[in-house]
Order: sequence, then structure tokens, then C-alpha cells
Amino acid sequence: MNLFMDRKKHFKRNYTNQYWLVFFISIVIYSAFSASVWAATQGNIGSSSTGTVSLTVVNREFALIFGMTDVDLGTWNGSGDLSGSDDICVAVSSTIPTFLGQPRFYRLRATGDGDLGSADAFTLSNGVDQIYYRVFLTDEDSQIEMLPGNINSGNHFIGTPQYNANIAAFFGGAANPCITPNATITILVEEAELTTGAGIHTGTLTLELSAE
Amino acid sequence: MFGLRLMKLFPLNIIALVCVLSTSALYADILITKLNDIDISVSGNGFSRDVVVTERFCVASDPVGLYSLVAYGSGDNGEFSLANGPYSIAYQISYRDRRSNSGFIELLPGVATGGFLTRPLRGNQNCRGNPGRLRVTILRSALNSAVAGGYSGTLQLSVVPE
Repeated sequence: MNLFMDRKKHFKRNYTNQYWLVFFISIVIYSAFSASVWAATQGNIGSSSTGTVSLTVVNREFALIFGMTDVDLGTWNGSGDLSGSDDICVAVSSTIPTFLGQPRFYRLRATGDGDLGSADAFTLSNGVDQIYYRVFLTDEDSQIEMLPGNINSGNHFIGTPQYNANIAAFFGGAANPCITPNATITILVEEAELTTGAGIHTGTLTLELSAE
Repeated sequence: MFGLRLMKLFPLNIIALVCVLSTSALYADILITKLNDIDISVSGNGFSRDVVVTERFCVASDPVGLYSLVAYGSGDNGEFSLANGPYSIAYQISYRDRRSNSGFIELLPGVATGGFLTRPLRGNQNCRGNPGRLRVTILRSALNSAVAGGYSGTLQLSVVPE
């Protein structure tokens, strides 16, 4: 009997909810506009009277990742790799105009539970042994392998036509606004890793999204 | 011909009263003042609802009477919009005058809206109280779909006796 037949490899992933990233450059711009350059002018007495007020508003940049669920990789049967995936929604405001369906660039950083050499390493543990997994990001642009702690940027975009609708739904308080997922996270545990240590292995993968 | 027909249709005393009222409105002194800039800073992340800000100011005249208000934004053709370089965010404004007990009435760029009541113009220069309430509304959909950054603009408000 192959001892490895009874080994269960469970992978449990918890995302750290939504990520909101506010860029302070907005605050700087706001401060500039708040200067006395724009001052209300009062009217003069006459047959008509005209005054002027200035208005300023700061539109903050934000990013939102949502629609994540835990991934159970199941039980290893003694041969082959184990993999699982999760469809998610990513959305960002941008420094370019927003129109429905227009691409949005973003950055995504992934970190795992770490090991002795790296705090960000993609690892699962049964409490004694660690095994490593790989992470892949697929969106409407391409597929890349994400490396622990690296910021993946520049070559991915959000083209989901329901971008604005999703955002509006989220701000409106909808429980799960990820109506149309536009990215997929794939977890891969290679066979070579599975031959080490028995038991249930779990880990947490954290994804940090920001606007490009 | 037209004057002759009026004489036939209306008694002379009514015509005289109309002339007095007309003259009074024409030469009334009016003042809009106590205007303040409107700065909208939002705490938290993103805009979860429409942004609504109300500012008060004062409109006085001597003698007291009705007035109309017309507003021009700094967008194209006086549109109510705020600019961030080439980008813009539209806003809406509405106005309520507590003196005339009206509710908020939406104003359109360049379109005079009347029926508001002035405060007395004290000492020919002062306006007591702030009965005029200007409400600025920026829809969350406009904010959440716009380019991030600071937006600014001006709003010109003119009052004329009616």
C-alpha cells in the first residue's frame, strides 16, 4: 500500500478582503487647489449683483479585489500534480479616463505564509513540514506566474464591461458584486512537493491590488 | 394702438399701480454676499454615496422684494462641471430661499429662476442672516468613474430684482 495514498493535501486560501489603496498625490493636488487662488467674491450693490464661489473636490484613486473563495485542492492520489483555481474580480480607478469597457492597468502582489528564507514564500504547512506551491494569474490580457512578493504590473488590464456596474453594486452594499469575474488565480502544487510529509496542509495567499 | 386698447380694457388706476410696481423693481438695489468657497474632501475610501454639500449666503435688497437667481458654471457654455486638466466631473445645484419658504429648486446653467424673496438691505450695505441655501450634488457614479485627482471650478451667481 502506498503510504502516500492516504495523505490528504488540503489547501485553504484566505484573501485579506478588499484592498483599498489611496494615493496621497490626490491630497497634494487638493491642497494646491485649496489655496487662496480660488476665493469667493462677494457681489456689489446695484440693479443686479453677482458673486462667485469656487468649488473643489478630490476624487481619490482606489482599487478593489473581491469575489474570492477558499480553494480546496483535494486529496493527492499518489501521482501527478494538484491544482485548483478561483475566479475573482479586480477593479481599479485610474489616471486615465474611465469609460465602460476601457482597459484598466493594475498591479498585483502575492505573498504566502513564508519559509525560513523568505517571508513571502508560497508555502503550505501541516504544522511540521512545508511544501511549496506556485501561483498563476490569468486575466483578459495574458497568463503569468506570480512570484512571492513581486509586484506584477504593466501587462494586465481589466476589460470587464461591467466594471462600473460592479463598483456601483459594491458601493451600494451588495453582498457579492463579482458578477463577472475578470481574473483567475490558479494554485499548482507539483508532484515533487507532494512526496514530502503527510497530513493536511494549509496556507494563506494574500493578494494586494493597486491601480497602475 | 396698443395703448388705446389698454385704456379700454383696464381701469386707469390699475394701470398706474402696475407702473409703480414696475418702477420699484427696476430701481431696487440688490446685493448677494456672504458667499463661501466649497471644498469637498471625502473621508474613507471611494465614494459610497452622492456627495451633497450645502452653502448659505444672503441676498438683500432695498426695497425688499422678489428676485431671480441665475448661475453659470466654469464648464463649456456655463455648464456645472469641475475640471482636472482635460478631465471633468459634472455636478448639479439647487437653491432654496428660506424667506420664501420654497423647497430646493434645481438650477440650470444660465437659466434664471425666480420667486425668491430678499432680506432687507440694512444701512444700504448689510445683509443679515443667510437665508439662501445652495446645494451642490455630485453623483457617486460621476466620482467613481472619473480620473483620480483634484477637481476645481467656479460658480457665478447673479441676482436680479423681479
